[in-house]
Amino acid sequence: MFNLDIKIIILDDMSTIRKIVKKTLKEMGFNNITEAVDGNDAWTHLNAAVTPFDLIISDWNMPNCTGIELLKRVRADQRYAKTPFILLTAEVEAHQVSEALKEGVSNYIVKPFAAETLKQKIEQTHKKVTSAA
Amino acid sequence: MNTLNLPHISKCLSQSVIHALSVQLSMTPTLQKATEEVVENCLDVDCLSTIVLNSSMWTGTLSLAFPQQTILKIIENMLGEVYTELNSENADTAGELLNIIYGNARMTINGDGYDFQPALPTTVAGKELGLAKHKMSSAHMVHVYESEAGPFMTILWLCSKAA
Repeated sequence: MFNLDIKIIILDDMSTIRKIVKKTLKEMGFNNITEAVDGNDAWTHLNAAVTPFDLIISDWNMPNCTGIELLKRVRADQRYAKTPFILLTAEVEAHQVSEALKEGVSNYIVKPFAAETLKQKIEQTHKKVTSAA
Repeated sequence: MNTLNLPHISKCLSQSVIHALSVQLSMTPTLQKATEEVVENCLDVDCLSTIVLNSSMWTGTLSLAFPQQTILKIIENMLGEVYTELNSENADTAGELLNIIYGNARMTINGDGYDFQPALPTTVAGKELGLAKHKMSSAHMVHVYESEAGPFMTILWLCSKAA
């Protein structure tokens, strides 16, 4: 499982989902959590971080900068080329999954989701990342 | 898709509503009434979230409407926090629910040949919002649900872009 001190950023234009994800992460023992309202806001935090973030959990469909647009930006930056990136989406069409995988997404969660599903996906992502290392 | 298959769209929508609340809230809403007639104030509406629907042939809106008591119970269920009043921040829970409902429904609706686009909801909250009674030559559907949190409804308006 991820070290509980890792830096996590959650981005979603809806505060409800940010609160739900943050609540679940805190229940798992994570406390170093930053919130952002869209991809541009998230990039401001990611770019300015003295110590890079260790996990990004992002909504797909947001104004200003979508989750997939942020994913592309993040993967183009050497500091975040391999950072675990989980996409949250209300829609899973085959072409969207292909696009996200092509751009380097680590995992995705389909809304609606139970807290247990989020926990399982985070653990699954950690296994994927550590076995790839 | 040139013709509007309202029974198909209605079914996709109600299945998506039930799925969203079942998984996200562990609630089991039941569809009480589905009508194609515009009804004035099925419920007192204090929180309304709306998505503009757009496809190559059709345009309209999909709304999710709650009385205050229902949406406050839903917010408490989702966030684990008790609120006694709606405000602009906690009301966006309705927007997120509609986002989930439309996102899921859109995939199955479009599987029937439609091409409805993704969209972001807008939410308004206020005591007893009036719902205007529209008379237009368009298909419309009102679904009233009952749930453990209380009643709520979805309101669907669609009209042909060719009209």
